[in-house]
Amino acid sequence: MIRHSAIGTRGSAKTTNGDPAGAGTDTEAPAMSLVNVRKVFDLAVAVDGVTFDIVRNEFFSMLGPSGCGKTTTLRMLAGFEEPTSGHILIEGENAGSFPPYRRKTNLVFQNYALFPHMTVYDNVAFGPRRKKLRRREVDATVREFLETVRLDEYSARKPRELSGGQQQRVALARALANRPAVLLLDEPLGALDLSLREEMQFELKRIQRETGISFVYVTHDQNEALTMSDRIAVMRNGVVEHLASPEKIYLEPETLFVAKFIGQANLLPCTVEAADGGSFDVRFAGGERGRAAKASYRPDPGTAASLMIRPEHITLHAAPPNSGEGLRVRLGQETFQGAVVRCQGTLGDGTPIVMLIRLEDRFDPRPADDTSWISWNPERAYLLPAESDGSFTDSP
Amino acid sequence: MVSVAEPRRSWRRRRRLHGHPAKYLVLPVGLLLVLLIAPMTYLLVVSLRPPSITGISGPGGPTLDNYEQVLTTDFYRQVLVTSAFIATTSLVITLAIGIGLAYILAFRADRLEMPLLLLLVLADQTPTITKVYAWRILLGRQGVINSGLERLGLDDPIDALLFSRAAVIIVLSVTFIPFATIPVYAAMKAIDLSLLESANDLGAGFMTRLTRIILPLAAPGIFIAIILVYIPLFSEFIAPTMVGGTGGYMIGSAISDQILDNGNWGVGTALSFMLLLLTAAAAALSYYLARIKQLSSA
Repeated sequence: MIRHSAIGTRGSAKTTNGDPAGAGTDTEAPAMSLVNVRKVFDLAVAVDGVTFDIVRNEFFSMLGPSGCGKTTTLRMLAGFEEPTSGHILIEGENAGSFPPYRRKTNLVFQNYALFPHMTVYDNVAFGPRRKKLRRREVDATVREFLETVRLDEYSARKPRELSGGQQQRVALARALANRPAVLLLDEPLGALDLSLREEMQFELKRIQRETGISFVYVTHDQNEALTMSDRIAVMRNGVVEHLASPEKIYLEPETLFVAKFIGQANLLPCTVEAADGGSFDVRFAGGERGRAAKASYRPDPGTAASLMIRPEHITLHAAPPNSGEGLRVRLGQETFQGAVVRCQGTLGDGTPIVMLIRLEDRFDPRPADDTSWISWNPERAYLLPAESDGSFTDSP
Repeated sequence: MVSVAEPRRSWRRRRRLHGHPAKYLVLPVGLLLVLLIAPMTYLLVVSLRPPSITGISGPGGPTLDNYEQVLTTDFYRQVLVTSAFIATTSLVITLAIGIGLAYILAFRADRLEMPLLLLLVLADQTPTITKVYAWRILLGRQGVINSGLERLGLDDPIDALLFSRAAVIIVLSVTFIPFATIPVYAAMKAIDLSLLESANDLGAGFMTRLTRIILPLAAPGIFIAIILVYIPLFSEFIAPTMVGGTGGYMIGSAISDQILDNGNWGVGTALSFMLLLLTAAAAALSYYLARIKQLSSA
């Protein structure tokens, strides 16, 4: 029950949870459900009506720029903030205004928040000891999770005697040792350097798979989210703009914001010519034609739109392509990036464009007047509403 | 210019320009000698002189007679025991209130934090004599509490409120609250709030957070508070004299009575040095405990 079924279960899960006050833990219920959760601080709306489920054994990310409401949402899941309205269900049980220490969630803090006066062992044992477990059970739990994060040899050390990456692992083991229904992570890799961060991304994914605990991961780093997640919720201004698998979000973003926030996107202004069956014909300002197989909305013929093409899906041609579908481009700066060359260019109407071209496909030497043509596979082109600062566009 | 790369040369150069650094120590060391060490030495000498009725010391060589008298006389032994009891009880009460207040100031007061802190400092700055008189008005035979009780129908005023051991403990406990609160508050203020959130998240209720996180991390501040409160508590003499009666007679009162009223410098100074020894021992113990607490895990 991972990625694909996750989206499918949303509807049915909601109906089984129709009674939020339902008795006890429902083993079929999602690990966590948010129902129309809102949070209003003194003057600002931080989270503006968020509804989604986190299924069991899922790596779920909340991604967005700072101030988008992702951290506030996480703190509401942990119980540090109470929603102004809406419900949070943990394993089908209404968490209501339960304080953090009564919730089946645990949080890995951005700054780790390890207890400086305790050893690594005592830090990890803190949760199990609160549950009044026997000494032997506490010991077994601590050893198990120190092994999971590969720090079993450091149990007698104090946090200040560990590196940043090791402290991060202790924080993870400490939260996992409570065996939460959902582990919440608040930008836990932010303080680490790049190579360590990449290593920890694989580690987190491995640990999530090994333990089978659902992870809810908050980050503003799209690469982290794309690398690790089963599903991503892209947030902006307190609402979820798009919730789907990483591939879906990358290739078929629901909004212009998502298209621009995740990866690089070329957004070419165009007018919709025909919307029949499975594909859309568009016309560009210079009269050229193009095609896209899918759209984020139901575009009406004659209206303005944006054609999204990712830089790696563009093909360069020395002459106009035979199909007649293609755009003239004036080539600009080239940057060598190893496997690919990053080319900048300008379309006839002045729209800047970025292309990632395989090393063997690049022009060498370049065309005399820097002019060439681009084309794309319509399956990889995607139609989004026109960019218009939020106002409606009704061009005839 | 002083060069960082050549410390030796710059040191020599400074020495050539300004002379030997020791000359700057003459003034502070001199002041310490004149103002503290010299009088103390004089008092030590006096405490070791034979007793005299007419002057500071009688004829004869150095002797431990004064110390022997203090340690063998039942009265003085009783005074020492009373002092230790009153000081220790007051310390415990002061600390309990001080830690509670520090917790409220550091974690709960929000916008009231600064005004409350200011009030605490003001309370600390009020002269002791004013505070003690205020207590006499509260606790006396015709005081606020007794007249209140009278109005409630209790005819006999409670004498024990004033001129008792309990009165001294009440007055001293309250007087020293600022000294206990401020160092503990400073230590608690330095605790990262995310530590408390994380303890809460891991299943710790209020009491567990207090005993496992807040108190261990505030321990250095608590031991400073103990040193700041316990030592002056032992040598206190204004409050015991004014509200203590016979049951609240402390070592400080005994010293002041012996020297100022009886002119018995020998016993007075001997008592002073025993007090000094006692407080030095208390300070050393607190310091030792603070170090242990910081080094050990919870």
